[in-house]
Amino acid sequence: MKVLCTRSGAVKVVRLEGGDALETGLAAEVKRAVLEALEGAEDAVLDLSAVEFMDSAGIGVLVSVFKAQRRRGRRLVFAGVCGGVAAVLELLKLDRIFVCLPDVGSAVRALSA
Amino acid sequence: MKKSPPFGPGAKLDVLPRLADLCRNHEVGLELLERSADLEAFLDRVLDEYERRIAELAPDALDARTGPRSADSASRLLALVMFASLAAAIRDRAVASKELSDRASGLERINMDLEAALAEAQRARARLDAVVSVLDAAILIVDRSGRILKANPAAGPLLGRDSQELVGAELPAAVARVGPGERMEIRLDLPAGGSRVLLAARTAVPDEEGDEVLLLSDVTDRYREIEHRHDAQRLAELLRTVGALSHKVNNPLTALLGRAQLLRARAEADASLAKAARVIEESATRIADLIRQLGAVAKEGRREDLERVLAMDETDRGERPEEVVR
Repeated sequence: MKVLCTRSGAVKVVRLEGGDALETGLAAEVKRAVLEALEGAEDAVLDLSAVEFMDSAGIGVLVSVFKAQRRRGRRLVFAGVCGGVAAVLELLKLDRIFVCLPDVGSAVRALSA
Repeated sequence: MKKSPPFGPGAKLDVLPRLADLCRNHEVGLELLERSADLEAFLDRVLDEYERRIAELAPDALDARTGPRSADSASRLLALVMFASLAAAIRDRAVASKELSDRASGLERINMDLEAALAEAQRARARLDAVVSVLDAAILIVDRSGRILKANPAAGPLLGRDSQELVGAELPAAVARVGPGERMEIRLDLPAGGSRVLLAARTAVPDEEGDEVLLLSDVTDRYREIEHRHDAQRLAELLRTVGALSHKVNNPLTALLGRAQLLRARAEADASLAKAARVIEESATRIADLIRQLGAVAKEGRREDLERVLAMDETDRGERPEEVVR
């Protein structure tokens, strides 16, 4: 799985690509790569539109990344959450803790407002 | 009879009675979360708890196809879900409470701003009252019908009335003639006699009541001073004219007097002609005397001197010319 980093105005956009599942075997590497991509004091969007499944390790990555961004005093919005990922976030009520928006555009607008 | 699988899809949720045990076993400790200093601190603790509990889950615990494959995994997931539900509920309540608190703070700020504005308005009112109370000018507030609603302390003496009696009374007719937006001098006859010249200005109060403010200043002294100055200017012009006339009349008068004296000297044989010559001579002398006095008055510039000269009794000066003609 690849972690791609782009920018939209003052907002950093990080996209997970190259696989539809974020599971135990990839979690540590993806977590390190995403945290590295988010370094610097910027608000960010994590684009999950290409990810359809996460196990507990994958959900743990989201929580850790969200915490790290909060510690920096910056905001993190999850974009394109769908399928099984959305169901798990809803089950764990993380959809009420995280800010989840349908796509990258709306997430960037929310952070730019 | 088909038996429900112990875990995963179709598993019977007979674990609910054990929630209290689950809470104890997995240290839900939500009461500690509720005591967080603020919403942000609460979220930090919730995320810590999520992170810890998710790390304790078996990787397949969240697999919708299989579900948790062990009793421990299932109970940990249930505990996490319960924690998540309670945490989400607490967060929602905290957010709502914060919004209420923010609104209350906003209302409190508005209230404080209003109190500050009110205090400032009261200070401004006190300053205005102080200024109004020491003003020499009269200030009257009147309603649409011209009835006096308020009057400052100077109003009574200026209008020759008791200040307390002014409230509720009609405006004096001379004052009432001043229209809205007008500024003019008026002469006010006082109840006890005499009069004053007032500079009056009337303007509308910008409110829905339609009240108006009248400002009256006593300009009687200034008015008299201006009148006096105008009189002095008119007198000066008159005296300049008198002086010029005196100068112009003097030369022909001198010629007239000389010829009259010559005529009288040559008319000794004709008593009537001699008398006429003498009357001409005396009249010319009197005119010369009058011209001399007027010339002196013109130099002095005093009105009373001019009036004294003009009031002199001509009969005191001897025989009148018309008597001589007869």
